[in-house]
Amino acid sequence: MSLEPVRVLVIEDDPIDFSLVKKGFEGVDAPVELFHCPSADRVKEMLEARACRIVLLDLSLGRDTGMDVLRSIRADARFSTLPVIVLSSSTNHRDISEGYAAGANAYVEKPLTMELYRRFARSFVAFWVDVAVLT
Amino acid sequence: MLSHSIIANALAAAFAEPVFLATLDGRYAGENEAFRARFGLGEEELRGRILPELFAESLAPDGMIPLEISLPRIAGAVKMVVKPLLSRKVAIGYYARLEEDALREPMLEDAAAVAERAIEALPFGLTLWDAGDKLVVANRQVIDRYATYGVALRPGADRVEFVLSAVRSGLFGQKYVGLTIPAQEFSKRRWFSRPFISGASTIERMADGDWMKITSHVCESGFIVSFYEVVDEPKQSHITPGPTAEYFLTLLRYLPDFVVHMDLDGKPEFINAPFAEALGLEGWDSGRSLSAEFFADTFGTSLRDVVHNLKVDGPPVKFDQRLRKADNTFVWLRWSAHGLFHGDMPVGIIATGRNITVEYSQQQELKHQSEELAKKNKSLEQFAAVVSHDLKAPLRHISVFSDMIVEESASGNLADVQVYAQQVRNSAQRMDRVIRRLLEYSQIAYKIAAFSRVNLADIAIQAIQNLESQIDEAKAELLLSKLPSINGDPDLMRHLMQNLIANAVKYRRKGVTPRVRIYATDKGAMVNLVVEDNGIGVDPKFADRIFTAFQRLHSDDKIYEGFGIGLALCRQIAESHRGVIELDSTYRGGARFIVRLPQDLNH
Repeated sequence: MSLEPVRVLVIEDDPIDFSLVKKGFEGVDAPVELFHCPSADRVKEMLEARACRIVLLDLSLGRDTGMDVLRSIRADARFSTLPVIVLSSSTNHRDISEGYAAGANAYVEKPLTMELYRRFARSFVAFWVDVAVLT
Repeated sequence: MLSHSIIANALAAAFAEPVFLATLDGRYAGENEAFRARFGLGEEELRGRILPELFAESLAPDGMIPLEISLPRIAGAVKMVVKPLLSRKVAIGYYARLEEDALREPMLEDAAAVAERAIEALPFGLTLWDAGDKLVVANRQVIDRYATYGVALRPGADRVEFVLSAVRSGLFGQKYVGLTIPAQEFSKRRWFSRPFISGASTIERMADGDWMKITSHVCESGFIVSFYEVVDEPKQSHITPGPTAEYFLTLLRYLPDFVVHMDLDGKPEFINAPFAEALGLEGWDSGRSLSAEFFADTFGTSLRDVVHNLKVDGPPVKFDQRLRKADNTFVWLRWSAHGLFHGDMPVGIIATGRNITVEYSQQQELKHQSEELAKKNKSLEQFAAVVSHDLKAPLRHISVFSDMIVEESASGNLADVQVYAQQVRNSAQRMDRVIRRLLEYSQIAYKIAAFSRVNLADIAIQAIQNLESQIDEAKAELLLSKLPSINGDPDLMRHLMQNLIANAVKYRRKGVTPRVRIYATDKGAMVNLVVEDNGIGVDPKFADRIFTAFQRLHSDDKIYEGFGIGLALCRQIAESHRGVIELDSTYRGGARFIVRLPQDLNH
């Protein structure tokens, strides 16, 4: 387990959903530091300022769809290899395949219970923090 | 010099006997082969020599005298018979033959004179025009008839000028007097062309009441011979075409397709029965003139365009046209126009029109259906998006928070339970709002429009009345200008107007009195209905996206309620009226929505 917590940017327009994600990670004492980005306009600015190494991205971001945000991250040389995990309410097949096509590293359905939020947080840490080697 | 030397030489050559020719002033002009052989002369040897005996004689036009003529290089005087050479009764020279040689064909000597007498004696008029359309000869019958109308007919006269001046003089009736068409244009008339007149006859009623049948033949050399015959008032049988033409006319007459033959001015020369019936022209016969607008009215395209596109051996010009028939029903016709050419000069148009109404309406119906299907598919996708995001989000929150209530209660930690319960209730309410909007959308979007004449001003007033409380609350000022009437569904139009006005009031600037202007501008067949406000406006980059269902541009819905479904509905409504709605992105003072609607919908 690394000493430094992994810095994660959570792009999510719904404050409730952000609080649920946060609660999930807190519930498992995950070695991550979450930064909330509520709108698409500030994504790149925050990625750089906060030196985030992983992104959790919601697909329904009001006027800017999360898909557009994902494409713009991928189109930017600075972030083209950044791991992006889509966290969405939608289990629509189109959204899933479009998400992967746009360059998502994983597509996760937003959990329906707090226990599932914690399980997501544990799995996230187990893979992206403990196992995966990040750039 | 002998002016008609070619004719004279030809004449001389026609004689088997030795013959020589002389000019009126008694100069030797030439001889035939037989003459040269008899006296051992070379060609042109004696040309221009003065023949004193001939010079001294004064000869009557049809005189024939024996003369002893001394010719250079020939010993002694030769006994000759001298006759004047006539052209149109005027002596143009002499020819002389040896008296001792009797003519084998005495008639030949008088051939020219006999021919001229014969032409004059004909019981009908005759004109002969050369290949350059200049008059060679005309007989008294024609000359006198035309002279009565002041039309002179001299050898060398131009055929076009002649016919045109005869037409203008009133010879063919008062209606042509003062005809201003230039000769150049007149000469392009199809019936002037040689291929057309060859063997053709026309029967004209002359100004003096006589009926004149003019028949023309074109000779191989390009000469035209025309006969002018006074006939009895024509019975149908006179103008009935020959059996072959009759056969083809019958075919045309019973062909279900429309057939028309026009000159280049769009004046129909022939219209077959089905077309004539459709146009309400029963009993129409060629020659009857139709209005100048006939072409444009009937074909919906400019004659010039059609003529311009006709090429010799080129493909036909094709176009579709909806025609209002005489019985006020409509048919769709697929026209195919072919050019008639004289050389490379277009002289007429033959157009055939096929009734494609059934195909056309099927095609239109198919197009409409596939458009509808595409629209419904799109709506379905939007529904899927709404269900998977907007509807699922609150449901998920209900699930998570109720789960958390269970968790916390189980562990005896009741501090946050009330907050979670509140979240559950909020989410349920949000879900209810989304479902209501969805229902509203599906009802409006799929309502079958019932069209009637609606006054947009009345509709605007109803919409404003429905929005009274919002307007009062926002202290908005509304300015309603005079609005026109359109064909539309009053319920749908009210919904559209209400949505636009509600948005204008809702998206207001903080601390600024909302002002909403509703007015209309006329753009030809379209009405532009404008709803304009001084509110927060819409970022131009979202000008398209705002009309998609459930796009919400103001994400903080604590300030601005609604799920952006209204504009999607407005678009559906505008489109169901065959119109469009757009955001005027050039307007900076707020938001300006323009609904372009056709003034008259022919459903």
